[in-house]
Amino acid sequence: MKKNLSENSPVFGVLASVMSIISGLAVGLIIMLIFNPEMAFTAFGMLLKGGFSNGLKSMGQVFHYIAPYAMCGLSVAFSFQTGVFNIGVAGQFTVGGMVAVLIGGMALGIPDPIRWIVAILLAGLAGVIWGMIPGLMKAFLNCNEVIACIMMNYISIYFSNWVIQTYFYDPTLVASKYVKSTSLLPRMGMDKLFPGSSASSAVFIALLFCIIIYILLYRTGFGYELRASGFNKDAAYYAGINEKRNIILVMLIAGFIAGVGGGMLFLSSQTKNFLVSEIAIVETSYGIPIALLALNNPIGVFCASFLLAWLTVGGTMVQSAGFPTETVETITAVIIYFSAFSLIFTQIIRKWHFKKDEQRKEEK
Amino acid sequence: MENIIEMRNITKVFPGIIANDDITLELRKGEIHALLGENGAGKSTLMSVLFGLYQPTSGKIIVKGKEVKMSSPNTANDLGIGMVHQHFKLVGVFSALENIILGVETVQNGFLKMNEAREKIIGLSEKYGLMVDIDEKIDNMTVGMQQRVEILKMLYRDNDVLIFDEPTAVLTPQEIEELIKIIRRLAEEGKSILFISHKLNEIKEVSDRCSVLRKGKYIGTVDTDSVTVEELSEMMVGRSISLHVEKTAAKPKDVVLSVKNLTVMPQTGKKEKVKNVSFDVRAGEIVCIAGIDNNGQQELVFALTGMLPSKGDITLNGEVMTDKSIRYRNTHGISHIPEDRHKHGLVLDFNISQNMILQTYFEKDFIKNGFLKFSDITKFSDKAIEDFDVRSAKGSTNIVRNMSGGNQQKVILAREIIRDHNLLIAVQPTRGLDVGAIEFVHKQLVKERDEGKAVLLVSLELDEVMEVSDRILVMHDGEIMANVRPENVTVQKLGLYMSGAEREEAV
Repeated sequence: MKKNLSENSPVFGVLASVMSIISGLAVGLIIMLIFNPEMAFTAFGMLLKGGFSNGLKSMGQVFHYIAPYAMCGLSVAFSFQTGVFNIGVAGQFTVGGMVAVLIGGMALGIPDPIRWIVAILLAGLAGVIWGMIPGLMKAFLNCNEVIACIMMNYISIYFSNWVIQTYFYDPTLVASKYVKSTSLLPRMGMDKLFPGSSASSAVFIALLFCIIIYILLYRTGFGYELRASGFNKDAAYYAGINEKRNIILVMLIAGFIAGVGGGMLFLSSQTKNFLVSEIAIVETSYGIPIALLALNNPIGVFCASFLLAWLTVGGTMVQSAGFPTETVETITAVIIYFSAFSLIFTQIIRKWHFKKDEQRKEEK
Repeated sequence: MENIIEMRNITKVFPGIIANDDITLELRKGEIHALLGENGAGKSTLMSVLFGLYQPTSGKIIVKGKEVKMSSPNTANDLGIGMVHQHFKLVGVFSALENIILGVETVQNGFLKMNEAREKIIGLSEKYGLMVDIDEKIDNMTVGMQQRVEILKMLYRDNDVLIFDEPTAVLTPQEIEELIKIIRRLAEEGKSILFISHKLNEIKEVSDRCSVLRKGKYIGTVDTDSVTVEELSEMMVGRSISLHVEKTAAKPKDVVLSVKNLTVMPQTGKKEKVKNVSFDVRAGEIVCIAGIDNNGQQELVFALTGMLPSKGDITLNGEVMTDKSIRYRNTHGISHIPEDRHKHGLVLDFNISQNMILQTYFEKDFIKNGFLKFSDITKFSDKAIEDFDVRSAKGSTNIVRNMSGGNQQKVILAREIIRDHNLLIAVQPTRGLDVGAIEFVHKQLVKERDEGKAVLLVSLELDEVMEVSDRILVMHDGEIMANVRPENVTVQKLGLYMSGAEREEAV
């Protein structure tokens, strides 16, 4: 590094995230070598190839996965920056998805051209309600938001299953019926560009959300207030910042982001039925690791989502090399595990950089 | 006389800073040796090296003629070196006896055997005139007594080198006198004492010799009798300083803050911390609340600033504030320099300019349509930095965490003084600062007063109380014991009020 970097330069964060990913991949390779040494390198190559593995379709799938990942990651990262721990993304995402499927599938007298917009907005609203409950409990009853969120996650699964089974169920699919093709998200040419993939405008909407949240956090007085609370709750209290109001608002916005994310996922293709299952929707489990990998930066969230989407697509290919899907999930888990070390890596790199700096000074 | 401890050419380097630079310290047997230096001069590092908490980068330690390697605090204990820390390490719900034997209990068949220990401790207590009731629980003891339990702990372990880290910081003047007697007695009985302090008068009074550190460097060792307090202070700071605060007589005008029958409950617990307190602060005067730590000062300030709910009346400029929010009070005349600058005063991960607008970011100077006006904020911050001489590597964009304590305090000072206000509440504004910064803070407080603001200063340092204030309110156990003028009172008298032994008639 030639430049003199400042103490909190974003370069350190980016380098740290890259280090996390490389470490995660390295450990992943070791695991593959243990499982099946002969095919390990082939499979590892497939994993890295990701979006390039199967022509434009794979690339399209990468774009398809970015949207739910980014929305989940953004919801978590936004709340983390303000000192609130929104662990309830899974719940907010699930009810959002459920509502979107209902609006997208049932008649309800909504005109077709605006159906997807209504569906997405109501999905967001469902997320808002789901996020606001822990927010209110935290603000007025001093109830730990993490625990309240986890409970809301369980409620969301069973509640959504019940709603779908009661109003919009196809027993042969063990899932919701198909949504109307007219209620899907506009493809905005993504289907032409990446034929055969599920890519749609969702990725652009996710990017827009990331940019808006970035501006909100770093450019507005409201964001200043939220970040002050996130860094130092006591100082924010001393300065007269209304913490209760902010906790509720943060949970509300985070819930909206996650709810919209859920809605977009289930309206991205007609075959994406809402499964009646007792397991949380897979995409939501990426929220926290993406936020960690991005060091809670909204723009970083989009980049981290791109990377994980890439590996997800690469991962589906690895099966053809004789590895069970579980291997891929293990590797992703390892990367996620290492992403938790991003902060430690940041510190190591920073220390190393400034040490070099000092030596240089001494030499002079 | 022989040296019991020699620390030879100790250097300790941390990344980016040399905390100890070639320091030599010799402690003779049976002497009281003072270690003098400002905050950050390297005293604590040197002691941590002696106790094996840090390994020196270079240099050696010789105890009783033999070179030793201090690998952990246990090594120091085995060599008979003990320390009374500034913050006592006692278990509150245990008796003095139980605390003293903790870690070195004698046990028979799994049962504690206390009798021998009891006799030995009573014997020690009498021998050195400590007068500790060893069956009393620590929580029921005064701070002075707790300190004696710490001393007994060292004596029980047969330590012959006793180190006192800022032992007088928590004591009243009377307790300090008692402590000094005890320390003398210990030295007469052959114990060697190392007395760490930055208070010159005490050092002059108690010690035989004094070693001075400044900015990590060893300045010298002198016989205390042969130097004046002024000479010591010059050695400590590196230039001659006036210990006196220049100010004219106060000209108090209208009442700005009026407090009537104020009662405050603590954040946790059920015992009232401020009990039915009433007082006024006028424009153009500095009123100081003196007292030993944790006698309700913090709760009083929190109640005034809205950070804790209270009963009674708080009136500012004629307006009742008792139930108003923190922000309302912030924007209606109260400025507050908090006691804990890291916890309350600053967002350490924000830069200077962001910290400068902590209570005012929503005002129209800094915001437009919800968006922060960064160039205006920077302009404002740059000016504040210039006016208050805040030093940092990068000015407004410097992250506050990377600044020295004195400059961090200047950021708070600038922010609170520039903000529109009639009342400035300053809680221990000089804590942990070096002499230069202390002078600066005191000057600013006096300037505030001369500009017609009401200043309420909370301080634990009696020197500061006597020098800076125009009027003194002494707090003890949540009550105001005295309302006096510094020219009409002695430090000894203040000590009696502070300990609750006396109460002024009129209050």
